[in-house]
Amino acid sequence: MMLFVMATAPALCGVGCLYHSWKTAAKGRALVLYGWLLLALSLLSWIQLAGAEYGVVFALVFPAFVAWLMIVVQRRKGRRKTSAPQTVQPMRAPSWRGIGRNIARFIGLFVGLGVAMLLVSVALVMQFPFAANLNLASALLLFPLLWAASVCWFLSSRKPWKVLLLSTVAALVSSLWLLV
Amino acid sequence: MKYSRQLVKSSLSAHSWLGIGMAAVLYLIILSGTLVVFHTHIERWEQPLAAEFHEFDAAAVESAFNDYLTTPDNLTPHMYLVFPSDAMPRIKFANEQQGEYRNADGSAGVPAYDDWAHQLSDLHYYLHLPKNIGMILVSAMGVILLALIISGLLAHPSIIKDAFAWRSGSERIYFTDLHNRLSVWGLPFHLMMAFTGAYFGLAGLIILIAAEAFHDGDREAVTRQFFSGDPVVEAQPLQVNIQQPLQYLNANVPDGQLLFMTIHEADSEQRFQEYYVQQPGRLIYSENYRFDMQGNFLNHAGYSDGDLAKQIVYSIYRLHFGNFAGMGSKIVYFLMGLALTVVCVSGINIWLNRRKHEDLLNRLWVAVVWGAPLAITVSAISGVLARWPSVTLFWSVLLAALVLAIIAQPAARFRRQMQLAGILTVFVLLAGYAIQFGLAAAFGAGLLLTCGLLLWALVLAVFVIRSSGAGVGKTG
Repeated sequence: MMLFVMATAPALCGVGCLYHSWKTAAKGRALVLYGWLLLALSLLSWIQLAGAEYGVVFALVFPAFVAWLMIVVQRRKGRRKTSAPQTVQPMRAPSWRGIGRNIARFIGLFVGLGVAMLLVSVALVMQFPFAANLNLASALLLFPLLWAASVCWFLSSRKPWKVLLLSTVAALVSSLWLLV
Repeated sequence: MKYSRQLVKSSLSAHSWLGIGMAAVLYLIILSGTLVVFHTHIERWEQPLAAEFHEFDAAAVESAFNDYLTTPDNLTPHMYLVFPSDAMPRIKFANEQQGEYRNADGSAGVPAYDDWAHQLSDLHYYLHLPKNIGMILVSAMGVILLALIISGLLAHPSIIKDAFAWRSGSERIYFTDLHNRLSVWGLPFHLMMAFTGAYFGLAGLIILIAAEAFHDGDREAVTRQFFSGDPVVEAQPLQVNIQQPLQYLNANVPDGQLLFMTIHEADSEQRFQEYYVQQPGRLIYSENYRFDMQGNFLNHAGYSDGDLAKQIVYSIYRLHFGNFAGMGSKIVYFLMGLALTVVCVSGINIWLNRRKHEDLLNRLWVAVVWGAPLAITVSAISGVLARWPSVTLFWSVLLAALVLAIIAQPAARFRRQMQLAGILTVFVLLAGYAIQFGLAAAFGAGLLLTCGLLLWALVLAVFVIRSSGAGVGKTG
């Protein structure tokens, strides 16, 4: 019980500091620092309480509950303005061909970028200086990350062809290195 | 942190497109995953009449299991003996097709009905698609979740500055703040779910490429680097000795939580038994101890003390499903999963609110958001009460909700109708369950789920009452 208090108290105080700095924005910088330091301290306490593996998980997740509680409590009690009754409009007949084309494009792009990033990830992790199986385990992190980042980059880019070109070149180089 | 206006705008655009395009599928996966946290409790609830205990007569259970094993109709390549644990305080004998619960003295108990629990898990694992395709698709959704996290962070430069803000105001502001606050504080959990969720289907693709590149296409050679190979044994009898392994485990792993035993290659003479024992304080699913059929120790798999890579890979399952620290971690994961579900729903609500009009899309989103839990409840009525678990029924109810959305009416009214239907089905389920299982519905194995369902009905009732005012809410 004592250890539980020692783990939760710094987290509570840490989120409290961050909250207070948010409330009083002008003098908040030191409080932000204290807040993060206390959260780091709570990580150590959680590890002491539950071991390194469970402790890290709890330390990462616990502050969310404290913060959400503070958000709910501080929320101004004004009634939520509700939308005025809307006139229900019939939806314009969608262009099914257009929708189909966009879905096909997205699937093609998503799968294509996935294949490219898979090759790039495996080629990259094999350069890591660890044991072979640890290198491959790193690909479990790197592959989804590269895939997600490339999708974001493509969707937000003003020149998406550049993203496709770069991904294709990277995939070709990787596959040559891996498979030839 | 200074973001350029262009970066924010384009990231928001990417965030919106990804969210709108994938919201319905993501919602189904997240909602079912949130419920699957309580998978063992759902299994117990599905058959509340089974005897529950922690102590058992090992000699009697061994004798009963040997009878089960030597019944020709029961024998399949893998045979299972589930031991009583904190999460599942029952003994179960099973083959690859079906199982039955046993009493503490090994005598026959009730049939092990768990098909509906598996149907719910399969929705989360595969979206009820063929397993290999479904698992890759669901894992790809982990990548989409990751992409949403990245684009969401880049699209909201004031996310730290507004870390505690939840403003009153229009419905759009309400949902925007709710979405952003749940997202930013839940970020570590969301990242964990995205990465670990992506693992299950994508690991196979990594293995495929690595096998082609470094092992002449031999995938087993790659897999062996992470999962221990089988011990080599010859001319093993079918009769199994479980008392000796239990004594060994009691002496050598006294703090471990014994989960179950599998007989591998049960239909050949190379058969051996493997005991899965959870280790206190560890995220690895288990350490596995192998014995021959006479109960002689062969080796352990080395998941607890082997290579770091092996330990990492074997820890992903429990990290994803939250079943590592008893009820505490399950409740934490359930609440975080619920928050992620709300993030998913509120994201689309923001987009719908931004439009100046209301049309079919609003009602379709209502049909997905409120139709999915309704479909789960209806499938539970069929699966648990009528013992007729049906994937078709689940999807039919969801499809019916989508078809009903075509009827032109305010989305708020349609949402209320869906919520009322939800309340009604929960009460039908609970009434039927109470009639079928009597006191077991209120005590023991049925209690947690019964309370959960009552709470859900209450939440739905609150939603109905709160939205009774005209025009409240045109979104999901």
